[in-house]
Amino acid sequence: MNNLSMERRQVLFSYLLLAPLLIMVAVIALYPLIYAVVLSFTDRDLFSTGMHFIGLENFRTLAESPEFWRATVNTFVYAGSCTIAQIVLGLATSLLLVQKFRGNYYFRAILTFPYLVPTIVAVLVFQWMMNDVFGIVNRLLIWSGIIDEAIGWFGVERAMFSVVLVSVWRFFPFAIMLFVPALEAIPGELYEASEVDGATAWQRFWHITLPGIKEVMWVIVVLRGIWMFNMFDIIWLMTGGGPIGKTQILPVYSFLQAFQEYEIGLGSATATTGLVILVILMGFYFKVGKK
Amino acid sequence: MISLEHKVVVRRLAVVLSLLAPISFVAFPYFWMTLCSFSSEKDLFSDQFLPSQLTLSHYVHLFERTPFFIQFKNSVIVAVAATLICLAISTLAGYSLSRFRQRWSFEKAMLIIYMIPPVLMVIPILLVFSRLHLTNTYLGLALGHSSFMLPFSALTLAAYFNNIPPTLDEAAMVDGSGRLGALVRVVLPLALPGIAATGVIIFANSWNDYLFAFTLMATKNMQTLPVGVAEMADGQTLQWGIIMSAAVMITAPMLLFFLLVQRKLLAGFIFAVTGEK
Repeated sequence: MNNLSMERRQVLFSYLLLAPLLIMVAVIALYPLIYAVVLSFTDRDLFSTGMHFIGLENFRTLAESPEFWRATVNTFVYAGSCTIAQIVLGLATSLLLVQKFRGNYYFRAILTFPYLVPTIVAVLVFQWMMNDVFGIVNRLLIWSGIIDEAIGWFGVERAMFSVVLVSVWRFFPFAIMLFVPALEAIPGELYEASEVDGATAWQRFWHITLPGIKEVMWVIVVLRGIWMFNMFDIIWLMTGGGPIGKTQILPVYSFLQAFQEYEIGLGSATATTGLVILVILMGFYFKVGKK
Repeated sequence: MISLEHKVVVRRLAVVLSLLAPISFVAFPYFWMTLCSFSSEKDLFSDQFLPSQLTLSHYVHLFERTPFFIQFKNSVIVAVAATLICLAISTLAGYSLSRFRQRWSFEKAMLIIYMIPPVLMVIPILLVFSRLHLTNTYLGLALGHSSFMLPFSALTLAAYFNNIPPTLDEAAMVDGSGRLGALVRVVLPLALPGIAATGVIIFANSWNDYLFAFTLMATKNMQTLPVGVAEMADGQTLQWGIIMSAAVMITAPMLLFFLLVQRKLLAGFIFAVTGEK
C-alpha cells in the first residue's frame, strides 16, 4: 500500500465508496435494460423459458400494427399536454406564492402535498368525483346550470382529457417545488429598477422573470417530459387504455402485450421503441437548447 | 385618494383570492375523499351535497373484513427496507461524489437511467428475480424499488454534502479520524435533515408504487396497499365508501411525513435535480 501515492489512494477510496452504488445500478438497472433490449429481438413468452432470436420481426409486427401507431400518437398527446399544463399551472401558482402575504407557508404546504400522494388514491378519488351518475363534479355542474345532463368523463370523447386532468393534479406540485426557489432567487432590485423605468407587468415578466427561471424551466421540461412519456400507472388504473384505445399509450400497450397476451418479446420491443423515441427526442431538445 | 398602504392591502388580497382557485383544485379531492369515507352508503348515492350524519362503518368494514392490515404491514416492511438500502448505498456514493472529482459525469449517466421506462425494466427484473427466488419476497420488491430510486438519492445526498464545508472533514482527519470516521462523526450529523428528507421521498415512492408491486408480488398475503386497494376498486359493484376510507388510510402516513419534512423537501428537490447549491 505504501507504494501507492496519496493521490492514487484517494482515487481508489473514492471508487470504493461508489462501488456499492455502481454494482447495484449495474445489477438492477443496467443488466435488466440490456436484457430487455435483447428480449425485444426474441419470441419469448411469459411461461416458457425457451426463446428464439427472430431478428427485427417484433419491430415489423409493431410497424404494421395500427394499434402501435395510435399508442405512439396518444403518448405524445398525453405527455405533451400534461407537461405543458403542469408548467403553465405550476408557474402561475408559483408567481402568486412568492408574493408576500400572511399564511404563505400553509398555502405552499397544501399545494405541494399531492406530490407525495399515492397514484392509486388520486385515481380512485377522481373516479368517484367524476362518476357519471353520482359524482360530485357532474352534480355541481348540473346544479349550477353549466350543463343540462350528466357528462361521461371516461367516455370515448373525454377520457384523454380526464386522465390528463388527474395527471396534472398529481404532478404539478413538482413544478411549484422547483419554480418557487428559482423565483425567489431573482434579485428584487431588478424589479425595482424596472418599476422606476415604467415597465409594465408583462414586460417585467418577459424580460426579468422568464430569463431568471430559464434554467429551472429547462430542468422541469426534461424531467416532467421524461416521466410523463413513461407514465404507466395513472392510465392503467383509470382507464386501462380504453375506451376503444382512446387513452392507450406505449407503456400500457407494452404491459398488455407482456402480461395479458404473455408476449414478453413483443412487449419489450414496444417499450424499447418508446425508449429510443425518448432518447432521440431528448437528444434533439438538448441540442436545440444549447444554442 | 387611495394611500400606498391601501394599495398594498388590496394587492395582497388579490393574490390570496387568486390562489383560491389552485388551492381548491388541489384540496377539494382530499376534502371530498375524507367526507365520503365518513358518509353512510345512503348519503353517498343521494341528491344532497352533504351527508345527513357521519359514520365509522366504512372503516370498521375496511379493518375487519378486508386484508387491510396485512397489506399495510407489507407496504411498511418493503418501504422501510427500500429506504434503508437506498440510504446506506447512496450515503457512501453521495459522499464520494461530493468530495472527490470523478473523471466521468455521474449526473449524465444517471439522467440516462431516469429515461428508462419502468415498464421496460419490470419485465427483465421479473425474469431475473424469479430465477433468484426473489419474486414474492419483501427483499425482492425493495430491491426493485431501489432500482429507480438509487440514482435520485445518490444525487440528492451528494448535493447536501456539497453544502457542508470539506474543511470540517479535514479538521476531523487531523484529529485522528480516518475518512470514514470523518463521514460518520462530522458530516452525517450535519447532513441529517437532508438525509431525512431524502429518506421520506424514497419511502413515499416505494409506498406509492403500483407497477413493481403488482408484478413482483404473486400471492395475496404479500400484496402491498396500492395493489390491494386497486383490486378492491375493480369489482362489479363498487363500495365507494370503503374505497374512500382505504384511500384516506393510505394517504395518512404520507401526510404525517410531509408535515415533518415539508421545508426540507422543497429545498431538497432544487438541489437534487439542478445540482445547484
